[in-house]
Amino acid sequence: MSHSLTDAEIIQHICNGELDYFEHLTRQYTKHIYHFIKSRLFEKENVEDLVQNTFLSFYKALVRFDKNRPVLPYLYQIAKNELKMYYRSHKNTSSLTETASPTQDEILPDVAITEIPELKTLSHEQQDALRLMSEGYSYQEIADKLNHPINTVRTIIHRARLSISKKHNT
Amino acid sequence: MKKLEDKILNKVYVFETKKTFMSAMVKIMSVCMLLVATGTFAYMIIQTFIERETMSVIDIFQENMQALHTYILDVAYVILIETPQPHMAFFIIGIVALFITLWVFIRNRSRISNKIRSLVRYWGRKNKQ
Repeated sequence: MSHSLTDAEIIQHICNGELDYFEHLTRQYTKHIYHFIKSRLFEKENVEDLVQNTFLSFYKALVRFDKNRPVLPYLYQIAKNELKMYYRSHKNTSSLTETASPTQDEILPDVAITEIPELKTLSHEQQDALRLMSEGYSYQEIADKLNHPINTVRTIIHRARLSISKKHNT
Repeated sequence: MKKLEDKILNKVYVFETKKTFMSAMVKIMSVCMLLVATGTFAYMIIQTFIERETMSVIDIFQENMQALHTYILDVAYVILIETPQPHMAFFIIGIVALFITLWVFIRNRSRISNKIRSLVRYWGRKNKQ
């Protein structure tokens, strides 16, 4: 293995199945990627994991990689994406609960839901979901009855409420 | 930094080893299944020919060469009619798929052998340490 190979030649060797050549790329670019990620990450203990993921993603993408392009900017782009994914997966989120109160738009007039004339303008699925809800079924029970995931049922009910309140206000 | 480089290489080699192993298993399984399927269909076709005594029509070729020229189309037509069509179709599909799989393997053989050599070299080095 000669050390005077260009990146394009090294990548060509790797694409031909000679994986040993990947060592050249890691030796050449690990330091750059390490400092790049380290300067953008608060949790320093995860820097090494992200560097490893970056190089693994680069390896997976080598077949599609245009050999005439420089490697380092591409690696930086992968590292950026890895950082984005890392921050996204570590973002604090709160799950929706059934007790979550409806928004102002969703508040319906104080009459039985089955007596609202606008109900007939909704799709059958929305009508069924609202009717079941007015009968006191929980979202999970409605999901089981309608054969939909619970989040789909939440969306159906939310859209039905919005649609009714819009029609009611006009 | 050397330690991190080793970790990166280890991760890449683990990934590639798993991928190569899985793809080899899939290829071997598909070639075996294709061989079994085409063999079964070939056997069924031959059995049908034996049951229907289709091959007896070829006997006329043994009489003289003149008969071969005269009746070759008729004989071909008889064989075609008596061949179980679905079995023949599956047999041909199996043979074509087998040839495609083997052709892809032969085309990539240098890449595959390089890869396997690299993997063996790396894991051999790793076991020695």
